[in-house]
Amino acid sequence: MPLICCVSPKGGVGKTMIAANLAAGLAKNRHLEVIAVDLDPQNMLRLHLGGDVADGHGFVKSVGNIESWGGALKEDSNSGVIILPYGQLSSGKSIKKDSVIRQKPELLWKPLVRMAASPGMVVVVDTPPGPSVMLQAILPHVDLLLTVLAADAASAVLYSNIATGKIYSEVRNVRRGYVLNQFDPMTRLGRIICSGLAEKIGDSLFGIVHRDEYVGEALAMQQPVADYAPLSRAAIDLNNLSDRVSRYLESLT
Amino acid sequence: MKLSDRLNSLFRVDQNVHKIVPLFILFLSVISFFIVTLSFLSAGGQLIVGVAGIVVFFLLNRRKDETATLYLKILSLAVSSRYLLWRMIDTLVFQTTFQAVLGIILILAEAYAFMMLLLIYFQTVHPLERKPAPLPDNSDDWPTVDVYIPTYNEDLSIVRVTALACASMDWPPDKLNVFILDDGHRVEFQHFAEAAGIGYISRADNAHAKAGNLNHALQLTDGELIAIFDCDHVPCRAFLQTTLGWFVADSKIALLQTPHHFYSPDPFQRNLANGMRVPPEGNSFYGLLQPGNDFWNASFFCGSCAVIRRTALLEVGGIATETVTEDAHTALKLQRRGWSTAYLSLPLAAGLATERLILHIGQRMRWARGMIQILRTDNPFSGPGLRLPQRICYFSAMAGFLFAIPRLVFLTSPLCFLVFNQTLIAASPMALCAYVIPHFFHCICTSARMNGSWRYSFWGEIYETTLATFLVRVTLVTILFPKLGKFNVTDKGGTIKQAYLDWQAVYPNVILSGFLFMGMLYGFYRLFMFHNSQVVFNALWLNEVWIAISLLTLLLAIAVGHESRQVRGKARIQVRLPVTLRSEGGRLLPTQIMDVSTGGCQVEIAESTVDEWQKGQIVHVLTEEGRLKGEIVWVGKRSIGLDWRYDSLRHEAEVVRFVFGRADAWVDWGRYPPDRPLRSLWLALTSITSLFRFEKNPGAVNQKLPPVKPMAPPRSLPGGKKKQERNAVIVAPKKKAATFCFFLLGIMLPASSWAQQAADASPVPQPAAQAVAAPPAGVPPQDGEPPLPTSDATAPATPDQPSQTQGLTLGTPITDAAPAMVGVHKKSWTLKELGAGDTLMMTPFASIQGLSFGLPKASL
Ligand SMILES: Nc1ncnc2c1ncn2[C@@H]1O[C@H](COP(=O)(O)OP(=O)(O)OP(=O)(O)O)[C@@H](O)[C@H]1O
Ligand SMILES: [Mg+2]
Repeated sequence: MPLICCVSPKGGVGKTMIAANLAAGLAKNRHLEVIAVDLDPQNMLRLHLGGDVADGHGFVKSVGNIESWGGALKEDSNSGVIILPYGQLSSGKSIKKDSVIRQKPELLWKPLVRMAASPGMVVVVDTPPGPSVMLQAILPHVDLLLTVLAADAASAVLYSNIATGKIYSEVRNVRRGYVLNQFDPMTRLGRIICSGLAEKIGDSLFGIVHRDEYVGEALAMQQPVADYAPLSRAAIDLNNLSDRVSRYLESLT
Repeated sequence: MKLSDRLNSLFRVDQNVHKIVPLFILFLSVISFFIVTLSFLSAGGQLIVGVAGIVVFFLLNRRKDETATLYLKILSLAVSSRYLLWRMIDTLVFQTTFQAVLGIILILAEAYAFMMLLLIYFQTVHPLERKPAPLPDNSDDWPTVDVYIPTYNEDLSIVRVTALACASMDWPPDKLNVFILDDGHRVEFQHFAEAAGIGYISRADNAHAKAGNLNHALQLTDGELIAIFDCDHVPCRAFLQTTLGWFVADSKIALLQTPHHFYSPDPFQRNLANGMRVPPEGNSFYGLLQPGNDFWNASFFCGSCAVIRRTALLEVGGIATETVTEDAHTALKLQRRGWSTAYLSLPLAAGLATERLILHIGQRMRWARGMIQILRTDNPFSGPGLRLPQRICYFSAMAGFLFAIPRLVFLTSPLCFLVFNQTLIAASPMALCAYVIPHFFHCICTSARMNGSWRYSFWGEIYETTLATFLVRVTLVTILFPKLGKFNVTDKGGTIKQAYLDWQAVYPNVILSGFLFMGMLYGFYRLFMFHNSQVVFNALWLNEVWIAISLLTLLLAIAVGHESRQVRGKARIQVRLPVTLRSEGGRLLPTQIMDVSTGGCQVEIAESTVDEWQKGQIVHVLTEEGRLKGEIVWVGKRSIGLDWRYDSLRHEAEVVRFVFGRADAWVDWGRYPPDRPLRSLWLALTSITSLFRFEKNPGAVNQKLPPVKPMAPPRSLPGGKKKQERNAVIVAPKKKAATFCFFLLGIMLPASSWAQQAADASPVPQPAAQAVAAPPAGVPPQDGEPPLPTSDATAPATPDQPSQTQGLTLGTPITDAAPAMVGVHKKSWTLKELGAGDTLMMTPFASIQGLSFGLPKASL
């Protein structure tokens, strides 16, 4: 089954939030086995899904030794998502691990692809912002590259960079999807940019998520938005997104 | 061949009138059959003929097509002719002059009713279901439009809503000019217009009232088309795009009228217990008669919610000023010159219904006066230019206003026998059964079939009775002296604090019903206290039944004047609109609006989120188009109430656009179950309870009227008393280039910034998909070292990024490019529901002219 990768050329747009909630949404609605993998040294993904702040386990220490990854896996009993955290690492060590993976990218992508290959399994990957060794290693093997863009002025430029193949050119067009996050209808610019971008992106737009206080609150409660505030706009937006993604996944098989 | 085609070939396409002959022969033969039987058969035989007619009705009525309706109409006319002939031949008695006069008056009234039946059957032979015509793809080819909003004494609070709605209709801003035509010479109107960038025209005198006001503006503006909205008819944003296609498609069309739709209940709906279950009074005209007229190319102008072609209007010397119904008269004049008219049966504007009976009466008095004036001074049956069906339709519209006297005759006739012992109809009960019952049966049932869901049986009688006593004088005076008469403005939009009986609006009917009641009592006295012959006995109780019906109708008409409480100053529109509610803290909750007005709205909330909302909190309603600010004024269990808070005219315009703008807002206007005569009768009869409704106010009958704004003071007539000198004030609509970039910016921004135009690129952007520059060669992805995209975005003025700054300022590039982008961004409406054949594509345009929609540069 598929490998879904949340990316964005720019930081802080909500990749991690989208990845976590997408994983939870897929796990809840589609009765799939979902593994959420965090490739970002910030190691934040687990926190969205009830993870323990003090728990420093992660796969990165044992890169090259897949058998011991299992120890890092954590199931979130609430959402049913299995989380593979990056792990708590000093930045020096992170860079070292990066260079290992730059030498041998298969150390990263092979286990991920293997995981994704088991039936009924979906792997959702959160990545560090911008270009990174980790992302580069798995990019050619991604089944759905979900680019998260903030609905702001900079995204117009970022999108054109993607559309013109300046970045993510390893991924074929059909494998690309976009999410506009933090859409704020309170500002006129937000609306204008959102509708303009939506028109440009066309069918590859997988969803628009409003800027909603409930999102931040849900993170504070370490819950998926859909659990924390099921009636909220963001919960509905995120639910639509995971519906759309699962429709896409169905179309793959 | 479909009926419509057949009729087309009969009357319309070619003027071969002799093709009408087969139908005519059918009609004559049915009639002559009845006439022949009239002289041969005994009363019993006649009864059988009558029953046979009813049986034929039921057989034919099982077919639902138009042809069957036509046959039923012919049958109905034949049965009624038979009745009338019988009445004339068999039942008139002229023993005394008094009796002869009364008898003749009654039969004339019946003849009038028959004539109207015939005319309306003819008018509604094939109500045309005209669809909107598409506009040219290129909006450069769209016509220029002046929108006139005439006003005289209405509040600014009413006019501003209409003005803002007009200014934000979807139409190329450079082709749309809105003008408030203020005959009230009010400074605050001028200030408002200037602030909103709307034109303001006020003339030196008030000659010829509304017509004069429009004509004055006509000389000052230059749009090819003129859309006219009374100041309380608020158009939806799609009005122009839906209606104007016909003016492009057919150069002979001079006028296009759309329905006057009222989103508040009319006095009948509001004051009668079952009123809300019955179609509004105006529906039969706008849903049935006007489409019917349209088939005969005879639909006419109703003063508002219409578009007129300037050249045509100038040809007839502007809006007609000879009569007080300038609208219908103008249409008549246009048609005499060979212009076509069109009617689009889609409510694209809405207003407040006259909010109390007395105002409704005043309005109808004016209409009646005007229509009879036209009948007398410019009779459609004489004069040049019209074809026969057009003459018939116009005549029908005008003659329809002569109903007052016949209606009174029907109401009071039984008194003649009960009180004065004058036999007006000398017939045996058997003969009555044989002639009268079939006559009523066919009239009612065929009309019910024809009226469908537009008007309910027996309710027309209530509408007429309410007005009849008031119209008698107007009718007589106007017939005798057609040149008299002045213009009244119908007042709208107030509140009624307590229920009360509007004595002013009902006193003639109260007096009349007093007489009828006494007559009825006297009849009973005669029935029970005297030994009557069988003949007299029969006549007495038949007249008692008749007078009871009259009395009931009158009581219902009085009940309409029993004004019920009306709380909201701004009537709420019942809707279901999905929106997102944003709390003060930025939490978003999707929900639905349950009702809305320009004052505020009621929003549904989930019980679990009740704690989120507190009275006094400022929240935002996020719609597809934007956001509206509101203050919570109450919190209920499942809903909260908001009052809108405007910071600026632009916000107010957004509220107006949200409340009234939706193209499909009024699609439900005709959604009533089809008329079933017995049900309608029941609804009417049980509405009598409204007469005995006393809300907190036992002394209602004696209560004085709440302050009603005085009827419009008579306008100064030219040559009349010298009034204070006034000067004409003319303010042209403001059109700053930067002001209408709001939407265009939305379209332009992405296009231009992605297009990565060089600074010197052509000002006309190509569609972005093709305009996207080819990826710079020589940046192949290198293993492990992908290009750093973010650096591109942050480097501000690198040579390949200049367009971003361009795109976000309101400089010339946008406005230059704007026309080319118009029409790119299309939105489809659910006009299918409106009855439009295909989904119409609507093109949103820059909204309000003159309002600063400019984007503050600081926000970048
Ligand atoms: N739709 C939203 N509404 C409100 N807040 C949001 C929304 N999306 C994200 N946020 C908030 O924005 C912040 C950044 O989100 P997140 O960490 O998911 O971004 P990111 O792209 O993963 O950042 P990074 O690039 O650092 O990895 C978080 O505090 C999150 O709660
Ligand atoms: Mg992150």
